Amino acid sequence: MIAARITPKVVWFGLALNLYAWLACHLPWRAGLTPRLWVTEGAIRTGFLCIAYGLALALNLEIAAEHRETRWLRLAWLALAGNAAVSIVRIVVESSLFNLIWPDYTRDPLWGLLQHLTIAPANAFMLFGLLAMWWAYHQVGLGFDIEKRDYVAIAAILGLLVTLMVFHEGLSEARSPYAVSRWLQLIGLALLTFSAAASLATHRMAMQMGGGKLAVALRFLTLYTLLRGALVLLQAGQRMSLMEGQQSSGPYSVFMGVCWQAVPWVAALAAAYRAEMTIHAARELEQQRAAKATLVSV
Amino acid sequence: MTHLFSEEEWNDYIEGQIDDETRDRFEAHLIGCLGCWEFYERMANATRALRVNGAGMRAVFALQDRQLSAGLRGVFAKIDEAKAAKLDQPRRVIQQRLDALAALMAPMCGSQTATKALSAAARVSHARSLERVTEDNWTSFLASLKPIAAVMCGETGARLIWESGQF
Repeated sequence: MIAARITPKVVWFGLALNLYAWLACHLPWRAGLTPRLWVTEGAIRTGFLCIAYGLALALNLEIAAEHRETRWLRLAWLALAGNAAVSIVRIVVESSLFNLIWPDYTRDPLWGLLQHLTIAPANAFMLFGLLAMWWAYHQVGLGFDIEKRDYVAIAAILGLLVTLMVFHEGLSEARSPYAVSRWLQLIGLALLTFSAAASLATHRMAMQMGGGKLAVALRFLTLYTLLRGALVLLQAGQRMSLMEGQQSSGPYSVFMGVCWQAVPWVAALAAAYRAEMTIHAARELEQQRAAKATLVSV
Repeated sequence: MTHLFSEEEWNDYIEGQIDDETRDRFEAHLIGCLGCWEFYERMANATRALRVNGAGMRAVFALQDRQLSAGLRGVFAKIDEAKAAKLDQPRRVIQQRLDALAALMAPMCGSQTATKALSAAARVSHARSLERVTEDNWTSFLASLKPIAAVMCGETGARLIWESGQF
């Protein structure tokens, strides 16, 4: 089993290594000690993020395979695997390393189009996964209820979406020559918002579980969607507040860089904690069978 | 006049200390057999009368001889204790099994989920409630718990719970 080797500790270590490597390249340039090592930075970013989503993909597929009889959960984890798979494509197409063979690739409107061609289906997978998961847990009838304050939070998130739609000039693709790109960004944003809203429902379930590895996994899933939503919102707000040609501040850029690189690892952590539950059960089962066999032989 | 049943079974039925299956057989027979119904009525009345008189006797002893009364009370208390212990023992075993299942589930899906899952499984099983889960309906309870555990703890977790729950 992959999950036996890819434990949450391994994923935490991967996240730490990714951030350490990136900061070790980026901060000396910020401090004016070295020239910008953008190829190294790009390679670190692309490599580590592909690894993070790759781990999430492998773990999600393994979890889905475990749910042979629980159809909705199988679909949910397959959809999350789909999200991770499409996200790998996204990391590749938005990599700054293409600048080496295609000058100014990351400033080309095509870069935005390719990016949003992957973001929209990735978000659709995530929304479907979260809804399927919520439905599977709801159907069991254990009395997991969404509370009034959750509805308030969901309404607030939807309100933010409406605000972003109204002030869509702040979005990165607002001035793209491709209409598809502009529309895809709005669709992707709507899907991300609905995912964030759905993740609040799964978070409430996690709160009502009274601990356990499943609750930890659900909390990381919530963090994954909310963090992405919050970062998109921050970026849009920042873009609207900056004058034409003005650059964002150094600490803000570092903060955003760190957060965006943490996002895929959060998805991998959610999968790793859920997979750890299976490993725990399998180990207990093995011990129990061994104990029974010993009793029978005595 | 015992028809299909032994005297011992008649006594147990009237005392209310009989398993569900034999009680169902008795009641199915009593509906259709007037002779047995009358016999049952006489036996039940006699038992009730004995119980009432027994209580009266205890009261009389208490009034006339304090020492004898105390001794008899002690004897009755011991009999009651022994009966209660005999009746409670299966319940204690079931409770221990339920606690063990909850302890297995808690690290996977949380302690509150475990409690809710056990109650939900009991509700849809033959037991109808967690308090009424017995050795007789345990398999039905466990079978109802398995799909809930499959959702909340995964299918490996459900297998663990199923195998742990086997008597």
